[in-house]
Amino acid sequence: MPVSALPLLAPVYFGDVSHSLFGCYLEPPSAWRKCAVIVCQPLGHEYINCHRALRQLAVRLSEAGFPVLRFDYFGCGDSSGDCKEGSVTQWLKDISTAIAEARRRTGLEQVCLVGLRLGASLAALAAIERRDVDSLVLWDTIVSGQGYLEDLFSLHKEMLRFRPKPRGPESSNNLDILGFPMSLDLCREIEQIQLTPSSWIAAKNVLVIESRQEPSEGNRNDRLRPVEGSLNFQSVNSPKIWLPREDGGLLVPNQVLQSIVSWLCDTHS
Amino acid sequence: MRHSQLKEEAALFGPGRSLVGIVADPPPALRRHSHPAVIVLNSGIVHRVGPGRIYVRIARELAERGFVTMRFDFSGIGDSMARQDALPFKKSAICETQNAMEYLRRTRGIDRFICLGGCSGAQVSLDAAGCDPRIIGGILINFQAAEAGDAESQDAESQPDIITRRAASYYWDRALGDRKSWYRFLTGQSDYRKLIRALQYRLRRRLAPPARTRETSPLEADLQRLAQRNVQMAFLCSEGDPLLDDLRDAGGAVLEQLHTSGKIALEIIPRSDHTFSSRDDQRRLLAVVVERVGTISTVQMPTSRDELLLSYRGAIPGGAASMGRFVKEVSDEY
Repeated sequence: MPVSALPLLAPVYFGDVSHSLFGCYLEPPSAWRKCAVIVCQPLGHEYINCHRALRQLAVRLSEAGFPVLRFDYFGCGDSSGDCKEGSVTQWLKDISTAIAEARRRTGLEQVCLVGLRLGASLAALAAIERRDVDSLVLWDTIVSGQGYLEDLFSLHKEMLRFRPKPRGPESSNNLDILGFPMSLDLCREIEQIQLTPSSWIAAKNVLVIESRQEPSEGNRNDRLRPVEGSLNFQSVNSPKIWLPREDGGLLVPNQVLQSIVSWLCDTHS
Repeated sequence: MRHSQLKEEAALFGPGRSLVGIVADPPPALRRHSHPAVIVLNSGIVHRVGPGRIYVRIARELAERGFVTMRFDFSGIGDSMARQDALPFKKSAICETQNAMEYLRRTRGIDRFICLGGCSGAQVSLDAAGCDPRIIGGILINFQAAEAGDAESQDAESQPDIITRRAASYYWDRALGDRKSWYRFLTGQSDYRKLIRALQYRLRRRLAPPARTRETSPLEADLQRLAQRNVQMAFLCSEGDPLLDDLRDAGGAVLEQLHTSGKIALEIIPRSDHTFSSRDDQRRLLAVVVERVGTISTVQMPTSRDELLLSYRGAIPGGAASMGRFVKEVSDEY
């Protein structure tokens, strides 16, 4: 590919100085579509494991004509704040800040939120709250916050088997999940998350996409199946990229990325 | 700890402004112009925040103590674009580390650096220190000596993959004394093939340590050269990481001697694993890094360019003259 065809990359800090957020803004190399995409990343170790895939997704979307802002929530990644300061309330505000930043940079009114795992739940909640999100892509959404926490604790316990046992948490108010602190307040907030199909009718167009490793594997999120015409459900054969791998590899699920890009291109043609 | 006063800035630099980094600047009252800058290098393919976001904590903590600290992604990793040339990683990583140094020289006026990296980032720190006299020290976290050095000895039998070595370390150091592990073993829940492979490797290593194929290993030669230049290297190793054995093998007598004489630091971080995957590990690593960076920054180095190049002579083929060219080539990209 010639150098001139590459998307224009701008790493930026934006938002309030005391809560500045880091984002990578990608501008399409040629013709623009009339919708800006904001990528809502997962949290904790899943954020690290999925970074490569979401970066690839952002590049492909910008090559398809979408300006894309992929950002880190407060207390995550390169954004300001400590991990233990994170809260669902703050992260929903951060999504709004990112939407405002994307609109300011692009001059576009239409926005699409693409979220993965807890990032998808936050994207859905933000869309419900704001009611000005045009499209929503929910990739392996956390439907039940309680189930998500149970899975996290179980994975953490499993990982502890293969390493020296650490001392207790740094404070009684924080749990340590695979090296990421989680405050008890945050646990309670996540526990409250419970999504249903009617939760995201707020967005005009919704794609619910789910990874399954075996063709025979049932759909865990049957409750998310479309109830209205504007909802699209896809189950794609793909690894669960958010889980830690023994070899430390970071996977890029080509088929899922292709499905998302195709759907968004069709929706915003 | 709140880092309310330090400032972080996103940077685009390197060839075609394709590399992405974050510079953490100390609060103005704490900035010491005599301090070197710390450059934090990717650990494997994990992007610049590091495993468990530890690199962000390290960068902010060092900035709070007056050190300009830059974390960035090598080309093709994290947010940085892939290179358009065919330069192999071993070379491109050094060039890109120098790009970061050049960026800090141009924007902050700093010309002394400490490189810090985990795993493959530790190897790049060592290689870069061997190539560039502006690097006064390195913090090498869980350095992969087996992959670094002697390619001749790396047959599958003597150097099994990292997973087998980690498994061996786990079975030998932990599972043997763990009731639950014995229960799984006795009730048919263990992966017997993996267990046998891992224990065979461990026994073989105990009974017959890997034979040296030459008198001085590449790592020993590198360490000797760096010590001659008074470059301060600190190896930080997780207690639970099998790479420690490899480091001791590859570093041999030279590592031991330089460590004993205080020219090289070798610290074991107790109860930690390879990626410091608990907050407890991270806290202890952070404390050691802060202490080591403080120690390295006080060491007096040659100051003039002539002195630097003189001290560098012999470190790469062609000596000082070719080093001068190398530095200039990198600088010209700005």
